[in-house]
Amino acid sequence: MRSAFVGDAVPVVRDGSQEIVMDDKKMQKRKRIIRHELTKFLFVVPVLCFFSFSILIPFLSGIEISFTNWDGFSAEKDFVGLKNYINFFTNPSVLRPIKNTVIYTILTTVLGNLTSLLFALGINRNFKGRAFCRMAFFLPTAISMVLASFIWKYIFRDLFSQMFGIKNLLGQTSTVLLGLTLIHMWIDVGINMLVYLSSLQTIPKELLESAEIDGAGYWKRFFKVTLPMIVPAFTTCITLSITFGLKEFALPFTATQGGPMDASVTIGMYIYNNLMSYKRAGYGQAVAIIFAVAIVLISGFVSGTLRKKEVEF
Amino acid sequence: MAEHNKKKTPISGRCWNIFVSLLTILAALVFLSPLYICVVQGFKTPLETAESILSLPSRINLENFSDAIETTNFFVSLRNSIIVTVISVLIIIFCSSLAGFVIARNNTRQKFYRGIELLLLAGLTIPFQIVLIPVYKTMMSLSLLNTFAGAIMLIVGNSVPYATFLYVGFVKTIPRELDEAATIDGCNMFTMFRKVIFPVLKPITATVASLEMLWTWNEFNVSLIVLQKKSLRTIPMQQFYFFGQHVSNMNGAFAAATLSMIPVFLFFLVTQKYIAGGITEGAVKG
Repeated sequence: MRSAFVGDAVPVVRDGSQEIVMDDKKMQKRKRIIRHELTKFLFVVPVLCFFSFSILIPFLSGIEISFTNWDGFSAEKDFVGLKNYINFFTNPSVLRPIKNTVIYTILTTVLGNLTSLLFALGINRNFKGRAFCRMAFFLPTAISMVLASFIWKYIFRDLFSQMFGIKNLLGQTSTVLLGLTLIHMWIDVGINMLVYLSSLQTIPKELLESAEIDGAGYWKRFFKVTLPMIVPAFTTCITLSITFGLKEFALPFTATQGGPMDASVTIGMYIYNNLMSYKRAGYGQAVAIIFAVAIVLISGFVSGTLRKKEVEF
Repeated sequence: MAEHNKKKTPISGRCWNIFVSLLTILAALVFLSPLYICVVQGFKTPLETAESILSLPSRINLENFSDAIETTNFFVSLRNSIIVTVISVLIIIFCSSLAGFVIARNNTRQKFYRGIELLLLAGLTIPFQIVLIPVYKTMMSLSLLNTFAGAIMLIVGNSVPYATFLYVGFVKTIPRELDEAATIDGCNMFTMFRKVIFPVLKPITATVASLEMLWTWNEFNVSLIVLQKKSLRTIPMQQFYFFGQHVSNMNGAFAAATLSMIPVFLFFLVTQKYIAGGITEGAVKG
């Protein structure tokens, strides 16, 4: 409210000899307000500092880097204009990571959300072992990506072949993304399951009961009552899954290093490799900027479309 | 409720119910099996593992564990993890509770504080890889590579958006009369926050602390570029390098893995309620 400042009496000096026309009380009040506003601002300063240091300023200076040929380690860099961006659209080496990331995102979003919804439906009933199941699905979310990769690499390589005679999923170009999806689901399904579960619990029991009295069978109730009621949870989970899928870095990095034959290099890894291995930080940053725009557009579009479908009760 | 159900549900419905329960429990067991495999290998000898991966060890064999502690430098990385996690989480709570309070109480300068809130929310969607290259450059020029300070600053910066978001949501549920009464009593804003507001924020502080503790403990992106030096590696980093080498003693590696899960699971079991609360809270409002 600016009026607190503007409306106040402003000290007026007349002929230099006159007393200052100023209500003492008002002056004090104004001082108090300024102090109050300053203290308030001080409250957000720490967050702003850390945020600027690690996200805002790097993001802005990243735009600058994307117009240079910086190699990632030397002190000097030259302005190269749009060259990196032109490279992005003409250089076919980026197509592989884009394709991998898109396939991986679709797999994790579809399979991950189906599984977590099924688990939530399974748990949202009264039965012995409910608490145990809930804990079991949620526990793997506490594990680090490094550890999950290690355990699953072993399972894929030794256990699956020994028990079911299945070839190592992570070892073949055609199945490596599916293998990574399974690891991702193990770590991530618990989170989406919680969101679906809390959404399922908001459905009024009377609604399902009255549908049952009206003669609606299990599946009809599920599709006509339950599903429309939990669309908000879909909005959240699907948007989150898509963003997480597009961002994926740690899992392929620790489980496959992008292999075999680059079949699991994601965009996140491609950016990292451009900095650390290929010494093309400027180009990598141009990829990152385009990537950021794509993520914002895609997640905005998806959550917008799903929001429209939400049912208000 | 149960009786009511019995009366109404036909036999086929009850069978279906039991079937779904069994299926859910089966899925839960499948979900736990990787952990079982990991722990069991940690106790077995290579010979026992070669015979059967799933069988229980014939005796409790702790050799793997003492080996693992030595070869992975377990206590050094445990110490590093504790330093990074505890300091980061304390700073995150300090900063985001203050900011969350002011942003939620934006009765003056509304546009300004709403702007900050939106800026933080936008920060939530930015993946770390987008700022990776500039961040690396800044760290290098400030000689913050291979320092805890550098890692902590980045971790805090990347964590405050979500933490602040959770605090804002919670503060909005606290009646304004509470801080107004304290202001009339003549408290200045800092004293008021410390003595009146912060104690009321306890539930959400527990949530933020648990979530951020877990995420920082498992943090990978920042540590990968900042904490590369051997003596500074946190547990995930240490494991990344350890598992990355050709592991000759699989059982020792599993013992190391099991060892590193103990603190996380103990913590997780205690704070599960708050973590679950924090996830659904954010999801519902986001």
